Amino acid sequence: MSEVRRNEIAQALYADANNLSLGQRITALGTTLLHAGHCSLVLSMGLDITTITGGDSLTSVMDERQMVLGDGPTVSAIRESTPMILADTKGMLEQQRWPVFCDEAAKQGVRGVLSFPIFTGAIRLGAMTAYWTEPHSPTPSEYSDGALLADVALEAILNDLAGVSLDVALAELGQDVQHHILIQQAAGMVSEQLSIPILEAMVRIRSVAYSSQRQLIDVAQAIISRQETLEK
Amino acid sequence: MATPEDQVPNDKTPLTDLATALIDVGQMATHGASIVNVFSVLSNQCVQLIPVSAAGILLIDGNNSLHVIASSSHAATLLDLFQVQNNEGPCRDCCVNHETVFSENIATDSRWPNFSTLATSANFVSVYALPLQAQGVVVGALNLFSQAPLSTDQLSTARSLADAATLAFLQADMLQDRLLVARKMRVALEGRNVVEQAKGVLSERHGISMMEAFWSLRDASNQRNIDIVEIATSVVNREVDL
Repeated sequence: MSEVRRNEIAQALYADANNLSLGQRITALGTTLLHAGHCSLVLSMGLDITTITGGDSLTSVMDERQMVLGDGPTVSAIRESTPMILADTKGMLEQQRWPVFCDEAAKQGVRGVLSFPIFTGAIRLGAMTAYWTEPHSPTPSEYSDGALLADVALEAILNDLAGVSLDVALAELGQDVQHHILIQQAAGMVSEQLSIPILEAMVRIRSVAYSSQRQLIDVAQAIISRQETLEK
Repeated sequence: MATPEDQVPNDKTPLTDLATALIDVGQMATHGASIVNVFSVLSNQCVQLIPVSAAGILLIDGNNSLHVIASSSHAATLLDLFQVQNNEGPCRDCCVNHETVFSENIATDSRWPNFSTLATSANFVSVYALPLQAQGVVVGALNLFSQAPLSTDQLSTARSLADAATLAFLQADMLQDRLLVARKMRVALEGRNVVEQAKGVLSERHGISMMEAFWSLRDASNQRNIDIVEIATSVVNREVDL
């Protein structure tokens, strides 16, 4: 079952945590799991897509071009909060969907692209994108591994922002808590209470749970039942 | 005496409420409404048409985890959530065994002791879980909570509404494509998460309950004819004030 798979991917993401940055680890694992030539991570704070992390020279060019052109699967994945499959940059359907990007990518020798948004609710963190030098239609297992990695990466990035230590993060990574209704509701409440963006609210809840050594879900419950109010 | 005209179907024949409901749902789905929006409308149609006290719709993801996507009332949300969290209840059995699971008198049912206690304390007598399934693929379940056992006719209305939910989710031609099913599941789940975040914002802003916050989103969506996920996104990003 893929709960087991999710845990395996989480373990793999934290295996080299002391030597490599989180961005490097996400892209390295993405390359392996998706059997891709290259993999990159783009972080967007708000709707402006700004930071490019991980990846190599080819992916940097591809990512930068997409941001400048405003066209391409990574940009679409982030804007529409949906994974994007580009099986062949010389395919007719693909060229209709991303005309400018397909041209540029084919010139750089890129033929297949797969991009997973990293997001939760209205919080858009960015996207992880895999590139192939041959046309590539992802297999169901590649697709589900990619989706799981994007999900694990979301938790890892939120933990990173909240200053959660590696051992605690690793212990909790296998659990799929981020999608829990109560955590989403609590983030909305904190965002309104403190007048901060929803991403910041989500990170605050995580850091409170970490510093008080409680489960995320318990903190969320206390916030919703108004037993606990976070300080400005 | 019957005249030939009597046999000709009159084009003014009123559609049954069920037919109207199914057409509405079909149109919403083909016009690109979010799954959260379609399922919210469907849950309310179950309450009005069957009728039942409450209804909820859950989807099952690639990890075999259940996710509550929409419900007609807070009590239904809580009972659905309970099943998600405790691996116990008719909905879970329905998704695992790919068949309708029900209990006409939940108070005396020993299959799900904790779920029964909770359902009884919410004043529900009978519960039904109908699989959302097409061509052997089960994507989730429709949960119904009522004050009395449902008749055969009522169950068949429920079945039609469950089928409409399945079709809205899969949109017929995508049945074979597992990638697309996985993709739609994720979109539905995150659409729901946006709604939950917006509920939190509104609940805090106006000192109202999560259910009242949901009503306010749903009413705004209906009045302005904007998808509920879109309204919710604007609320979270503080682009509109409800």
